[in-house]
Amino acid sequence: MSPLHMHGLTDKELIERCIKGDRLAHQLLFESYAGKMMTVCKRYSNSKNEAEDLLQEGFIRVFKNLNQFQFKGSLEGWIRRIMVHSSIKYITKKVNRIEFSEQNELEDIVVQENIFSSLSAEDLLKMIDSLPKGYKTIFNMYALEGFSHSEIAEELGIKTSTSRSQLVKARKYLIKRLNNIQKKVG
Amino acid sequence: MKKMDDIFKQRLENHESEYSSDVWLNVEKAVFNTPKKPNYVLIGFWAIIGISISLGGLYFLTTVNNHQLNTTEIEKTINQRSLNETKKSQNPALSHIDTQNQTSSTTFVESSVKKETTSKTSNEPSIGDKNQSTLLVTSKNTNLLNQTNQNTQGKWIEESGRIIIENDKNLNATDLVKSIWNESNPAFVAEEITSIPNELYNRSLINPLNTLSSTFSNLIKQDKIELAFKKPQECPRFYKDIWVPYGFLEYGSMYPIRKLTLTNESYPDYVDARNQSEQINYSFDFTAGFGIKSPKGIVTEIGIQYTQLQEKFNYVDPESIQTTTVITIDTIITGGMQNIVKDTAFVDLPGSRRIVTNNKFRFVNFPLMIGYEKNINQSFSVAGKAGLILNFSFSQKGSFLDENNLPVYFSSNQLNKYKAYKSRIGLSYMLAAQFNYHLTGQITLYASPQVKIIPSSITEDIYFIDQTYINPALSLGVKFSI
Repeated sequence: MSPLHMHGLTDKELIERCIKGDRLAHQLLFESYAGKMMTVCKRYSNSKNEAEDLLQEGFIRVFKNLNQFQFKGSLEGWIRRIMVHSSIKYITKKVNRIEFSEQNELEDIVVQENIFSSLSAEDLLKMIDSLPKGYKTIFNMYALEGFSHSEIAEELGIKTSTSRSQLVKARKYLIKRLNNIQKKVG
Repeated sequence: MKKMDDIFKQRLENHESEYSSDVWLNVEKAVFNTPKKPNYVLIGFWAIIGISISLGGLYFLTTVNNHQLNTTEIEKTINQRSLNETKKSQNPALSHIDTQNQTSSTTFVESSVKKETTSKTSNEPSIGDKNQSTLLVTSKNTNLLNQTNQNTQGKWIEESGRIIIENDKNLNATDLVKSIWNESNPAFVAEEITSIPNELYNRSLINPLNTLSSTFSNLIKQDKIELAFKKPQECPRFYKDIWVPYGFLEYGSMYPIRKLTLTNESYPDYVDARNQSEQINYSFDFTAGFGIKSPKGIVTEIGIQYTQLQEKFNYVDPESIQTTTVITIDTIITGGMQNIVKDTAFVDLPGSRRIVTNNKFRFVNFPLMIGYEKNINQSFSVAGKAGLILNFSFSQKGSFLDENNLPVYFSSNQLNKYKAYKSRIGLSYMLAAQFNYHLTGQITLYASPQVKIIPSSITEDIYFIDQTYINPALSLGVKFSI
């Protein structure tokens, strides 16, 4: 239970208090979503420290732009989008160039669901983290955030085809890791 | 079969990862350290203070100029008197007023006057005190008159003093009196004349406008006359029907009455738990400020005030257990054989963990008071005041029970600690009575029973308990007219 007790407070009321400058409301909003957003940031980063930097920058943007939230979607979705955009911006700024190799392999890759049963969310995060930078960013954006290839291309300044090929590579890489795990387990 | 992407998404979508508490601290710093919109209330308040100080300063300067003007007027009057007396001495028709005036100008220059001043604050002079410093002045000094008159606004006139007149026997009474007049001040009254028996004591001796008594005429034939003076009772400035700007310092002892009000029904026992674990301690405030009293007795005051409310948190953990190990060693001798038997027992003592903290709530306030002061007599006056107290900053540290009845530490300085209190509490109100004793013409001592009311909660709006105070206080202070 949160020590701050915002029982019955809606997102709208919470945001209104934040906009008025209520420090406790800011803290409550942060604590309500920071854990989930940390997962998002970890997916895009190479280390915990980097993920915390992303989380920090993302929430600063969230608080500075709260008055622009239109209440059309969920607050969580809006914060998540800001986190992803902040993460991408941060990463592309920090890493001068993300290596993307051209390859035209388009296929849906399926995997046995039971492979995942022995893996925790943290294990999955570690697997994503082990992906090469280019693969990781595109896998995150496409598979987990729901960006289209054209949106990814626009966001990262790459060709649509590059986005597709990187996704395939990322998937292959992950399947390889999953298969290795399966062999070890079973 | 399921697409791998969906599995990843499903498993990670609601997963929460741990993060360092530093993240929030940094976010908070970044968000709240940005420049805020101007606080027009605060700006207005400071503007009032600035204007008040400026007006006070202007008033002070104007008063000083008036004093200087008066000094010049006195000087002129005295010069005029000397001139008139000289004319009398030259005009036989006027000489009947005081025949001794005829030799005044010559003898006056030759006379010498010793003045001794003391640094004692007592109004009672003591003749013959060897610790007194001696200042030799002579009427040969052409600046004496000016110097003396300037001294009417200066320091020494505020003190007890004495004049020792070393008479050269050529000095006539009028010249002697002139010397005294110039050297002391009309404001001084001779309290003792050592050479004169008490029954012959006469205050008018040193008033050059009065006819000299025969006693004094005889007296001046002695070689040495010692006069001791004390400043006459001044009418306190605070008593007068004039504008009196003043500064004041005040220390108040407070006995706060706290009220906790639950705003969330989910914790019905919480208020009782807090009240049982916390006790009000001695609290205090200190105020410094400026005020002005109008001729009609209207009093306006502004200042800066530091207030510290203190509470004691005393908590005994009911689930804590202190285990004492008791080892008993018995020596048993059987048939010459010695056996040692050790027995170990554990004694549990419940409720042995105690946490005691002195909770401190610190306020920096700007009080703005208005009131009415009524004189009872020259020494006493009473006043009633009411006003607003604008809180500038509020900080706190200490411990209390959280909603789970567990002790938590709160601190406004450490951002990662439990935060329940505001950083500013807005306006409070104050009512005060004031009993004044005018110690001197410039200084007044007072005692002031007061009630300070903090109507709005000092907790954050969304915190589940409201905490308000009514603070009865007894303040002691000093006012000094500027």
